[in-house]
Amino acid sequence: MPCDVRELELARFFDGELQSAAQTSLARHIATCSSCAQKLHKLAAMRDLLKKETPLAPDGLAAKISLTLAGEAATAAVFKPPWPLVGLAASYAAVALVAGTVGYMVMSWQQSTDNVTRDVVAAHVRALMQDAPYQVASSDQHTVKPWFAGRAEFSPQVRDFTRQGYALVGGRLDYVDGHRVAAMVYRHDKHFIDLMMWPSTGADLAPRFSEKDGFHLAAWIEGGLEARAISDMGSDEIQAFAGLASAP
Amino acid sequence: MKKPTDFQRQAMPQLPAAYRLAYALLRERSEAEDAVQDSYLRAFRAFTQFRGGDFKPWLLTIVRNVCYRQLQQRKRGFNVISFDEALVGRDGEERPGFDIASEAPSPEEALITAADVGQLQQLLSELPPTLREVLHLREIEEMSYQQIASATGVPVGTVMSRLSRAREHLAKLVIRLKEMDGKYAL
Repeated sequence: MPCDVRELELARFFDGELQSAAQTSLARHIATCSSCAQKLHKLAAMRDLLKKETPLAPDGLAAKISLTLAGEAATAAVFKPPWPLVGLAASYAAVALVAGTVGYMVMSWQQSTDNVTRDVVAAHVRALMQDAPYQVASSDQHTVKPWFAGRAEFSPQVRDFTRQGYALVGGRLDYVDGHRVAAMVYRHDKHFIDLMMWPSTGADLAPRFSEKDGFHLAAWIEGGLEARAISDMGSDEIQAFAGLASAP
Repeated sequence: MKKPTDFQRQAMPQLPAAYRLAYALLRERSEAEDAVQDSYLRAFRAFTQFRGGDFKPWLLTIVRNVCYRQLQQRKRGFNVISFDEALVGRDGEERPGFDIASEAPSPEEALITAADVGQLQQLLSELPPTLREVLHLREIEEMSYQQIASATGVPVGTVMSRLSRAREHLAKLVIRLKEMDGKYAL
């Protein structure tokens, strides 16, 4: 028996877009009309097939995006500083800058430090994405230090601060601003701390602190080695850690 | 002040939907992945200008724009036929990116044969992106006509006619209704 229900109306029924009265009366009709029922079957089968055909987002995509955003956040903070919002922090930084340093050497160090910060954040995030953030796992400084011999072209200071609450857990090599760096990995409660070091010709500089994308950073130069500490722990803790690690 | 972590907290849960939309428009997995990455970076940069409100539509609008721009670029390069295409022909079965059958099917999928899926993919690729988009938003994201209208910036009537044209096109699909009997009983 032919029926006069239009395709469009059937589609609206299928999509739940009819008024409830119309929806009910059409449902009653379909129960007795094999032609309409057949068409509905086909719409449902199509929807099912489309759902099966739609792929899931690839596994690594979220991690890739997080990494891109961390890098972007570090870069953006360098090129577009939100000065009006920094306020008090900026004035503290200015005081520290004037009090601590005068001269060209420091200025140039400030500039090159921007790329370094971006790389340090990226290296730290990458390390956290691995099963373990270190290549050699040891709480013994006399195991970690020799591991770097032959891998890095310098011998970093490796010290354990377990008694002060910052336990050495291992070390790895990483790559920052175009050179190999030694990364010592520490643990404080649940937080990992990366302490990265590489040779520098700069004069000694006391630790200075910054924040990028939720990570706290400390930067200093001591005894011909430039150092960065980075972690997601609190700013008091990174200051305490930098105080320990930057001591000659 | 809005922090990057605020963005991530809101944006990362939308990743599956963002990828599905990009795939529906571009029909190519690696292009969809690139488009989503690009969109997230753009959204992140624009996030300071985001004045609250509903985050998901805001994000998906960016994904949509990135994909349409990508399609425009593809169109400009359309006169260039790739070597692979020249060899196997436009509807050749060996076209890369169409090999969903290589993934192990789940028991439910066993009902739907690789031939069905291959045919569906072919038909979907023939559809204009605007029709694919409406079909996707309705069937996969289960949005109402009204929601689709505001997401795509067209009147509800246009949504209905696009949806109907898309379905008409897919009706060429041979679906083994007998095997599915009972599954879709009302």
